[in-house]
Amino acid sequence: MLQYSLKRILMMLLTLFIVITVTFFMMHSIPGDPLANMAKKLPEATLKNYYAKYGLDKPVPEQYKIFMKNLIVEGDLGESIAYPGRSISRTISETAPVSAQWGFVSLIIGLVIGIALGMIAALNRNSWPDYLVSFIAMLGVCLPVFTLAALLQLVFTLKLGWLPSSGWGTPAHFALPVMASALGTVATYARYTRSNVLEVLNQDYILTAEAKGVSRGGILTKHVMRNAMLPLVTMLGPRIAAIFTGSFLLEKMFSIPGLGFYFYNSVTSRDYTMIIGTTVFYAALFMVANLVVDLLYGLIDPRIRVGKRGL
Amino acid sequence: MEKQATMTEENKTQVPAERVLTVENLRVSFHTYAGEVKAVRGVDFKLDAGETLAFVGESGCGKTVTAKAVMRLLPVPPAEILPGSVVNYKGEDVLSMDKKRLRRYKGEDIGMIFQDAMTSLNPTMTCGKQIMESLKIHTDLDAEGRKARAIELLDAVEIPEPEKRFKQYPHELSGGMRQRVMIAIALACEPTIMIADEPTTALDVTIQAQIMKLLKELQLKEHTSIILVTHDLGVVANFADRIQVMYAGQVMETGSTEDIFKNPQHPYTWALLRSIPRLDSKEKEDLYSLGGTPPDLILPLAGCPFTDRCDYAMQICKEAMPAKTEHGDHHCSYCWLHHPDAPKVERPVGD
Repeated sequence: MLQYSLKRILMMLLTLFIVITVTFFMMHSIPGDPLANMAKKLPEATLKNYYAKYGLDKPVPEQYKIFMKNLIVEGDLGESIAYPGRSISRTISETAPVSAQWGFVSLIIGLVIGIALGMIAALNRNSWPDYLVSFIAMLGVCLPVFTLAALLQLVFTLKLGWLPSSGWGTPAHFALPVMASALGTVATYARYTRSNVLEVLNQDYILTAEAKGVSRGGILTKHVMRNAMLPLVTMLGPRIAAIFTGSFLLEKMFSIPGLGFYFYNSVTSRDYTMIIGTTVFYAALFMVANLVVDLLYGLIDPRIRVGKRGL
Repeated sequence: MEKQATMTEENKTQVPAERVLTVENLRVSFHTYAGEVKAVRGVDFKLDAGETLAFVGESGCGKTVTAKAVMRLLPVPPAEILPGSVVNYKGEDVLSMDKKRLRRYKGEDIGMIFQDAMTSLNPTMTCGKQIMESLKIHTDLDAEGRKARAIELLDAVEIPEPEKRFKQYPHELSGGMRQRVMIAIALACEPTIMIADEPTTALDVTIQAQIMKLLKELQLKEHTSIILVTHDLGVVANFADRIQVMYAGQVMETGSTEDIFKNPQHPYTWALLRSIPRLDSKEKEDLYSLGGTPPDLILPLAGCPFTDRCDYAMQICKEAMPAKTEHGDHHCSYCWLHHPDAPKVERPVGD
């Protein structure tokens, strides 16, 4: 287990390195730079000083070297260019918890509703509850997050006036972004739960349990649930990632001061250090989430005991 | 000896106390998109305490469906046990049991061993827990008592190191071991009847013999009745007291093991017996195989279902179902050849 985890962490570092490198060169290939806005207002000499200050006057490979040195040797992500004086690490540590809060709530709500709907659909196969769940799931898969968010704002704020359209601070502010981002989780989990439960119900060991005289409830909780839930754990990783990516758009649309909001802004203002900083953070988080999910899977499924096989 | 005693008692009293199961005119259909599949079409049999009855026939002949119908394990729908069918367990109508009684009936009165031990155990539950689950439902034992009993059962099915196996998951056990665990589960509550549905088909030959021996020993010890479902007459020979030869959801011939092997009356039984490979066969002799396939059970059948594959088929065979012919004590068959007007046919030699 330990050996496996170490190997995975090494692989993660390598992946992270590649992610940083690719991001670095990609963002430099976008026309314009963080100081482009000032360029018109400032005298040439001052501008030159600015470029020198951030090292932007050097060739890109040189900049890359400096950046990597700072990151690896000092662990420093630097300072925002668009908002001078704001350190990247502090921005992340201040804004990430906001994203985590509503992201977590959305994930939990999505999981609970999704799994419940999937079970209901499987147990009422080919009857109206099943069709209803299929419809919701289809909707959730097909409807882009931003469309849904706009629709929710239209209905709940403009038409009904029940909820604030955007902002942060009170529980009411949670409602719309959580709804918008949970539907995707509900859809994915409802569909997979349904098919997994149906598959498990067809397994021979369910018949064995029936032959033992286990009640229908007992079969569902003791035999079906665990076996059907196992594959769902693996999907947690991608789902968490989807919440991250959803957060870029949703935090912007709902004006939530989370990490996604800043990430979005940093891209539009080509705030190099901020882009790299948030990317590193997202990539690392995503990989850690996947690692945790994989290790968790080994714990729940006795057939996959990570480490025994060495992998 | 057991059998003798049963028989004499049966002759004495009108309702024998030893009779545990009576099945009459059992008919089971599956409702599919293609139509109604009449999988079991009027099966009768009786089972006495401590007796072993074997259902023999090729795949799709309705033997497993019959066994599952008796245990009320068929999914309804698509399956339907047609009205007029009788399944009677110790004087109790099984088909009208309510949910609560049915849960006790399964496990406590009848236990079942399935064909594929590889897939018949829950992969995410330890073997011990799977045995204890049954004990929890059907006995008053506390947690410790259940554990002790489960280990005792594992020991009874001759699993070495039962304490260790108790904690292991099915994937950590070999196929033979898993089938033993299955037997332990079925035995957990000392059922009156045990249904073994091809218990050795998925195992290799040496393990097969061990499992059959184990079943026999356990049967003698617990005085359990066994219904053995198999397509392998070789397995049956040393194991069953009586054999019921089935074809296309119907009984073709039924009799004691001796009757079936020494004095078979139905052409289908002859064919089955000829299919058993023999050790003393001449060199390079082709193995016998019965040509053709069983009839499609969706289509209506007017006559004997075996007609198309039977070497002795006559015009009448296609038109009407033959009546029952008694050949002696509890030995009977359903074949037109036994009609007084039918030509006399000798059983083909070569066995």
